[in-house]
Amino acid sequence: MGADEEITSLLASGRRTEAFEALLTAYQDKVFRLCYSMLGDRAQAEDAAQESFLRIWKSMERYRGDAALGTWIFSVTRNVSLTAISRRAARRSAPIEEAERAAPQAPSKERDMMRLVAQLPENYRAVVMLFYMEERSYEEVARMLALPVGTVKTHLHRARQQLANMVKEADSVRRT
Amino acid sequence: MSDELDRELARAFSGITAPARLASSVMHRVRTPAPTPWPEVLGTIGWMGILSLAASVAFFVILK
Repeated sequence: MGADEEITSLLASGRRTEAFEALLTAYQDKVFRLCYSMLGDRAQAEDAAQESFLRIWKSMERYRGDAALGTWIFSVTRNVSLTAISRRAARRSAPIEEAERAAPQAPSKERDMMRLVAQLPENYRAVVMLFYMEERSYEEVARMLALPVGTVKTHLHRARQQLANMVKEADSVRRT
Repeated sequence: MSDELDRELARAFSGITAPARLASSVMHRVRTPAPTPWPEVLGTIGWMGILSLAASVAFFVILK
């Protein structure tokens, strides 16, 4: 039995807490990655992931299985992340650069790459980050962001082009 | 360039997992009952008091 089936059968038999614990185990990484790709910051992603799970817990009894469990979970997570983005915009604070916070752990090339990715438009950034976090699966990225697979491929192609230009520019600045 | 970019992106973003404390923090918040919203409760009681006082004043004014 797959994790989703197990969770829905636990829910159907009224074992809400057990169902939620199973859901948390199965989806914690995916929910966190989705928040991280949309927010671009680990600390904010952790808060958003917590908030998403609490909303899921509160509305779990109303889940009737009309949509696939993952689709429902990702839609709650996207809404929470979008709210966090608009709150952040209202406070006029730019996303805190992950690379700067994690500077002691991340080798400099990775740090540079994270900094460049952070400069991409929000929709491109989310696609790029999720694509590499989710083992390069176009389908999974499409499912998590509720986008057509074609759009994911287009965003990824354009993001890579922009990144390649940014890398070139950064290299030429470094050389001068 | 494209391959190198691909490798660097993979190096930067693959293997990212949720912080270990996420699940325990969520379960802690799920198991802890939400605190009573005292300001709202007191506010409601306060408004009820004001309204009943106003009603009694109005009642006595009409009786006079």
